[in-house]
Amino acid sequence: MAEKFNVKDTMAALSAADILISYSGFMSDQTLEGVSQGIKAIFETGSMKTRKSRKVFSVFVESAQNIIFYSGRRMEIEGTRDGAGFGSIFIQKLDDDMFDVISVTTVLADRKADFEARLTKLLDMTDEDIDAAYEEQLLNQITGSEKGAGLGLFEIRRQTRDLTFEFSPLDDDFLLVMRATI
Amino acid sequence: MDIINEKSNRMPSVTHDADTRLVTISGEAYPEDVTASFDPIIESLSDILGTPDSPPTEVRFELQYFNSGSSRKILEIIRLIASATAEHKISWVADPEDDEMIDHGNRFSRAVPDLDFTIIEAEL
Repeated sequence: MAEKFNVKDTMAALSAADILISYSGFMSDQTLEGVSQGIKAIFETGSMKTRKSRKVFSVFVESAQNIIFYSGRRMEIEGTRDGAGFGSIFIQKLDDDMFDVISVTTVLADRKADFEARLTKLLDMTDEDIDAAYEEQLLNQITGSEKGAGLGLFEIRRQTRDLTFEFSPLDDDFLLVMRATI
Repeated sequence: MDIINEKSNRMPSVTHDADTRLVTISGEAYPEDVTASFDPIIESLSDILGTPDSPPTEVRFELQYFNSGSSRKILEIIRLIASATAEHKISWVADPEDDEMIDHGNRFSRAVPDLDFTIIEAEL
């Protein structure tokens, strides 16, 4: 039997960190649909309206699709193409005009080196390098799939003022935590 | 005016007015399955714009957001327009405050240097 989940501590931690939106668990396209509309309501028309809303929204969509398409821990859902991937997304308010979009996904042990190499390369690039590589990949469709793999990571990097990542072991696999500051 | 695609939260409306020779693509694009969502639109646009008898037509993009997966399909539409026999043109409309959408327009225009491709800054 699973351990009893400590809701009180989790909610206190979310509140203390000024988390505006959080989602954890199996994320499907239906989740993306619902949460993305909620983000629009909060950031584009609500009390938190900000000129950063487009960037926050874009990074959220690309991060959520990374979890849905590529999380190593998966669930099939009848009637959907991709099912659901296990992960988390948090949107944290750092100040009135600065936000973190934190995404957490499961990476299988045998895929870690590949993910780590791609992310390290991405972070080593200058803004100019990123723009050039993004355009080259888009126009020439060099790598990636029809789901936008590769381009999605470039898009996240392009929209952020700072991007960090870390892997932490979880059972036999790893959790990849990406923190995009916008 | 013919409706090629109904607007939804995650796909733009696509309309064709044969009288004014105008195709308008308006809204946001981040569907679950870009191929299933875009390919019927691309097929319809090919019928409208890509035949030897197609009259010159303006294709007006009024997009407010699209994700990375959709960007490949938007480029496919732009390349379809550029490869047509008729001298079509593209108007890429972007909110003046939306630097990203203006950059996208510039990026796409570089992919089709021989096409009449104008970036228009206007409130959407």
